[in-house]
Amino acid sequence: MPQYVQDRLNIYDALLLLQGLGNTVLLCVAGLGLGLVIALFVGLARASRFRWLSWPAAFYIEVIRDSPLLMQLYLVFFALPLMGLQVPILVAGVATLMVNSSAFMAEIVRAGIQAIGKDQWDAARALGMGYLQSMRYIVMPQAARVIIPPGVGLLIGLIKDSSVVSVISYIELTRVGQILTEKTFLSFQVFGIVAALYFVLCYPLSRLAVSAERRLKVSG
Amino acid sequence: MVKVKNIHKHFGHLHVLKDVSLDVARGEVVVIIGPSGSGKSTLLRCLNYLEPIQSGEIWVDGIRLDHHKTNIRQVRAEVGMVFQSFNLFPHLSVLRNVMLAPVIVRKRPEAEVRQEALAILAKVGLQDKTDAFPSQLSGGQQQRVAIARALCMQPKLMLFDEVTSALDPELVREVLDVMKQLARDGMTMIVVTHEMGFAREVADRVIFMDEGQIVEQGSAEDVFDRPQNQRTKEFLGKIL
Repeated sequence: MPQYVQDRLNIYDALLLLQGLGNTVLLCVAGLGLGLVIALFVGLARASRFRWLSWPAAFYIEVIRDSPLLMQLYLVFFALPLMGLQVPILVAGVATLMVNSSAFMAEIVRAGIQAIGKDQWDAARALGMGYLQSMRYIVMPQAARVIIPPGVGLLIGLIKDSSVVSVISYIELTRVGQILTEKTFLSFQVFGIVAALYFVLCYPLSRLAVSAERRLKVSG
Repeated sequence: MVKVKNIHKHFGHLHVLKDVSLDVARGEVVVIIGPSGSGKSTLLRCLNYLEPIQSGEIWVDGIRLDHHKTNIRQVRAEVGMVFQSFNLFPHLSVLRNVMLAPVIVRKRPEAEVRQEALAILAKVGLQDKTDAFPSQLSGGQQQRVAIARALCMQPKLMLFDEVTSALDPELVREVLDVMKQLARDGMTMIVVTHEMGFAREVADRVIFMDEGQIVEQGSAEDVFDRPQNQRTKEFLGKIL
């Protein structure tokens, strides 16, 4: 084996992995967090009975859902600068994840809202509640139960898909994995560790969803 | 209390209410009967604007119902409604079901509302169920919670939309008893029902509706024992 190839992982590599983990967390918390907020509004608009709200929301959802995440990332990172808008790597990554997740999540939110029957709206309106009060106190708490399982599934999927941001050289977990394998050729060990770290990120979320679902469960 | 002037209501091509007019005085108990599809439930739902009307006027306690949002919500807060299928909020306890609207719509202090809610729940015989969830209750108990929920808003008018139709026969009485008590307390009530015994006992006026029109009205004795209109006679012949 040539001298310049490092044959084991050292403490600096471990630190680099931790940095990658931290950056992936940053990317996902910011991107998916903002995406959730947007999804709430787009989902409400999509479920609206007013067409001037629901149609643009449907258009947004379809355009985003039906194009690849990687192309969206390229568009943000490479195409926007052509229009004179230079975007830092992290911002491009966060923006892409935000837009992408919001479209999928909006559709889940819409389905959750529409799963709540007209009866509940009638009862809320008959008591003098307005749209926002009905939504906040009656519909959303019940819709949450419908939204959480597929919603968390989506988030877990997107945490893993955030690895595509490695293509614009953002030093997140997957990019670190690539760097370390190029340096050590220990592909099996390095990618094994990277995969385990993704698991560490996603598994608690999965458990959280199960317990939230149990807590929100309405018998009958 | 309620003034309905020449209202018309369409569902698409279907003309469900045809030129209906109705006056209900304060403290009056009006029972509306009629075959299914006659428009009685729709009329009730128009009175708090859960259904919009195409023409005519509806006045509740001196306020005209129109498309103005504040008016509608203001009126709805004054008008209690109880539904055939209870429509309790399944994610809230019995006490929370009753307390929610007075606190967030009327903006009354929570402690005061809690006292009143507990008193009303005791009145409908559910003092030991305040922490239960709707799914843990029988149909009759759920419907009594629904009545309590409406009463806690301190309504001036109560609308009952076939409230015993979804109940097992042995549970009907406990709900009717609560309604009778309410009538004795002087509540203004408009009741759509198939319970003719209840109508006889409690109604100040019985209205018979058919095909979107008020066909006949009068005291329970007049309508049940001496119906004038042919359609009333046919309907009563079928059900009595």
